[in-house]
Amino acid sequence: MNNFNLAIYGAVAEQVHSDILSLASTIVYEVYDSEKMLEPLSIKPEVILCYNPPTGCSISPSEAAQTLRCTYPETPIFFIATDKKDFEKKRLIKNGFTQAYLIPWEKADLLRSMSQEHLYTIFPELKSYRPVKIIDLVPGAVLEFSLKVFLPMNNKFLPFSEAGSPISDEKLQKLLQSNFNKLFIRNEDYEKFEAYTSTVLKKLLAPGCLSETERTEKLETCIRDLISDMFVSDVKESTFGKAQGLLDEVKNIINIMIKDSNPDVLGKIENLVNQEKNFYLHLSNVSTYAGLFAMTLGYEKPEIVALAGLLHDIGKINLPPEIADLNRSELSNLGPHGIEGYKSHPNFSSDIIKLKRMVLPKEVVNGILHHHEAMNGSGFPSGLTGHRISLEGRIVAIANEFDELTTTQSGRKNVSPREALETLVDENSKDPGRMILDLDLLLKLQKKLIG
Amino acid sequence: MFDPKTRILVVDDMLTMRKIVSKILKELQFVDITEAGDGSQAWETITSSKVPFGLIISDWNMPNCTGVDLLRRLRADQRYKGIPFVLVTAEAEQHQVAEAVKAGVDQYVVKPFTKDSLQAKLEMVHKKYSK
Repeated sequence: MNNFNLAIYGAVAEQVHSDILSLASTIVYEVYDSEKMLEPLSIKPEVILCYNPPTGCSISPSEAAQTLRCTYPETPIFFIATDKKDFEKKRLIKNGFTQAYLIPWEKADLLRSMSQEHLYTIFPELKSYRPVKIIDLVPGAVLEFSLKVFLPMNNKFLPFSEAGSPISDEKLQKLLQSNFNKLFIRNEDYEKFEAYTSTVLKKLLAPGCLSETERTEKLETCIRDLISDMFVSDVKESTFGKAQGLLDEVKNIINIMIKDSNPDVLGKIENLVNQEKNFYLHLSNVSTYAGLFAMTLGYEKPEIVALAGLLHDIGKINLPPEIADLNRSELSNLGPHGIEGYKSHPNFSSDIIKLKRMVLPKEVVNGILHHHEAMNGSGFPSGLTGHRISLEGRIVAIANEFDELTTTQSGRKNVSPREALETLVDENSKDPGRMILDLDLLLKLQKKLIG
Repeated sequence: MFDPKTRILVVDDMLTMRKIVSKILKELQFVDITEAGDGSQAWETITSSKVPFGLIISDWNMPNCTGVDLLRRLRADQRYKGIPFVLVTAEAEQHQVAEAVKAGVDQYVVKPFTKDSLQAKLEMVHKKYSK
């Protein structure tokens, strides 16, 4: 058993998440005391957690950081706040904390960092490596850097491919089949890796150089194909696979459009959703549909709506899975407590965006906040009605429902895109008092997409 | 390095920070350490002291009289202009460093710091003064 010593300031066991406690081999609970904090602890901590000092405490978070940093120059020291008031991440980090987390909004991040630190105690070598997604690697490619694979079950860190020799398709498939989605590269190779992925992406989009015009043309062609395949034909079997392929291609292009307008957002989203494949799939589907619908409706900057689609549910990462995975019709089964939590997720999404310091146009934020508002005012979190709901929000809402209907889910048969759109029009045209989605937009989409 | 008997004044409005600095100084074998709670208190301590100070380590951000205010006052005074002065700062932004250098600071230490980093800075200051 490896040693993972944990020192916790300002909290007792009951206040600390059990997942964190279960990682540690030894835990010491300490109180904030400036004299005592200058002396080394009874254990050599692998991680120090500092909870917000209690009211009336003579020592401020910054002082705590500076004092502990003095004795532990290299140890990760995490600050944990439970109140948004006075939470200034930048300042806390400047004063010596390795990272600061606002709980419950950033609980997932904290747990991830803790597991990472835990892993480092088993495998110090990992510190000089960083993970890359297998999906970014093309079989047969000759890379300028070597790759390693980490097998956590038997604690092995093995070479996967060497710099200058091609990646074996067989080995790659084997990993994917065993549910591995990460390989490791040396930290100093990361720039080479980025250069490699950008080349791959460019090749994927257009052979030769990629001009703005080419990109727009490609985009339009893709969308035309996609639309004709998805909506006009009703033969599910043959079109669905093809439509999926096209959907992926449009996704790539829409991602590039998002990247052009907001360079660092995609990386941050990937980090947030990390390995939860289905969740990411839902986000990227909604993003693509939202972008697609926005274009069809003649919205000037479809990437704005696409970005709102990509981020609309990001607040769900902090909800327990049994609540987060529900759809609109299953909500009534929740108790009042669960419903409150669920109904806050658009707000959580916008909070996370602020915390991650993503600077986004206000249309994007509105699109996120309004994606569960309903035309008749029965939606959440604000209960807005009609056109008080932003256009972006109304489009993301349609994309969200559309994805729910077209995605295969257990216990329900998925419908074709054409049927999905017809169902939505149907449901929302019966009674204006029960209108959830914007019928005008749906009818326009139906007219343009199906004819 | 400075003589262990060097008279040192540690200026900070936060008790914790004064303790941190004093503790490190003691670990570095210094024996004559005086503390002051802000710039004006420091000025009084310096001017009323019979034995001159050989080193001042002061925080930047303090109410009433900041570290840089104190530094300017000292550098403008014939009696104290030659005392080595180290500024402790939380914000090492470029324009602020420039301001401190202009006022005549010898070194600055960015919070949070460790024994090693403070020691290194003190050695640099000492070198400068022993030329």
